[in-house]
Amino acid sequence: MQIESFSKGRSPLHSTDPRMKLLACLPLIMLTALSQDILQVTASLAGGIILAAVAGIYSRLLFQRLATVNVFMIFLWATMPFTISGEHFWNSGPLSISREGITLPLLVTLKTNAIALYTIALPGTSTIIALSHAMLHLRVPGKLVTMFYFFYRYIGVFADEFSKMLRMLEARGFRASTNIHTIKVYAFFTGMLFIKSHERSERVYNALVMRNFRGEFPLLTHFTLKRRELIFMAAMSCLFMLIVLL
Amino acid sequence: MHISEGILPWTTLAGGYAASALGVAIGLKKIEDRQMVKTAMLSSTFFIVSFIHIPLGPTNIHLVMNGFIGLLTGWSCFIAVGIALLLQALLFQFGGITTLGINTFNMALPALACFLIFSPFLSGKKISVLLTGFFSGFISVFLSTLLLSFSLVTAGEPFIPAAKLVFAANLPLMIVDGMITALALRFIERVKPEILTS
Repeated sequence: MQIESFSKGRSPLHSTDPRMKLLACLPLIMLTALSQDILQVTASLAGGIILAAVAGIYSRLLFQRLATVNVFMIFLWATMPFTISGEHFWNSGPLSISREGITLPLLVTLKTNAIALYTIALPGTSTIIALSHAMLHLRVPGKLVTMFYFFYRYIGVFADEFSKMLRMLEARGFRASTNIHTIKVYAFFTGMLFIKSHERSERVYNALVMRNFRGEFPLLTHFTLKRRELIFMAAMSCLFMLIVLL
Repeated sequence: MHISEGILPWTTLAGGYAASALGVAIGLKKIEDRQMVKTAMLSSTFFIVSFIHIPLGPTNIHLVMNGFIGLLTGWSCFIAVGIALLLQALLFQFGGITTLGINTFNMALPALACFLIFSPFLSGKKISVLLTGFFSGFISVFLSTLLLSFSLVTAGEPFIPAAKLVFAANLPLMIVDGMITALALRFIERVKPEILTS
């Protein structure tokens, strides 16, 4: 299962220190999420578009990803223009649309896309392992990061298990439909997956104890800041200040 | 069941982070090394299980099972839910970084409630396991949807119709999740009961 879709590449952003990417992306995302100003949010989206270009991640996959993120926006655009009352903007027969009814969903849509682009272009261009390593250096509790690492490590394993069991069901003629049989089969399927993961976790734990595991992994390598990281942080600070000042 | 970025006001986001951080901190305090590996791996399974889509007439719904994860992980459920949502936010941009706190809270608090209320009834007769399972599945999804709708309402009056829509859309899920949780628990209780007692 390939889920770190954007982490491979040779762009300057791919080779930037993951600690710096995390530190740069959090304030930008928070600023964008909290802003109520269309101009600021548009500037932020422009920043996201440029970062994605620097990372060289424009592809069909990126647009598919953005399309999924925008599904909830359809709900907003379908209801808000007609339900929010305010300054008159446009009407035809019984339907009337207010100015606020357009600006609010527009604001949310711009924000969502800007934040999605930041998340993909900054932490998304590092592997999860590199990000876990960076989180440890940023003083996130070690136990939490270790658990996140195990969680991520075994997703692929259980996804394989999942598709194997699903193939087995199909080979025996199972087809999902709306009935109690489907519910029963999926319930036993889920139960079996949990039993398998429980048994595997015991084996993994025993293997770890044998290797002197004490709840955390020691940090062996350390990051060093180079000129590239300084330029990156300066550029990100400029972007942040630009959006704030708009 | 996630709220996307850019909708909620900062008070709700900060409140969500504070409450979830407390939940995670208690979880980390109580957890032992053996439990760490188990909780993390159950959380991966929980993540995979959400890929099961159950056909419901012309559409389909995907399982949530947060009551189930609550019964299996107990006080660690805030960690189990939080790490799964963090990965989704980082890799799929479902939910998001700013909404991670409130989304974790909305899913994990009902899971914890199910653990506290229902775990004493887990051993014993078939009917007791089935009923426990059904109610933990049903109530956890019910409470999560309720919390989700309340969070949307804090974003202001324009979001009230969306909040109602979200609640109504999740009603069938409560029943299906209840049934799946009941039968899955019964299955585990027959095949490997020690998972439920540990």
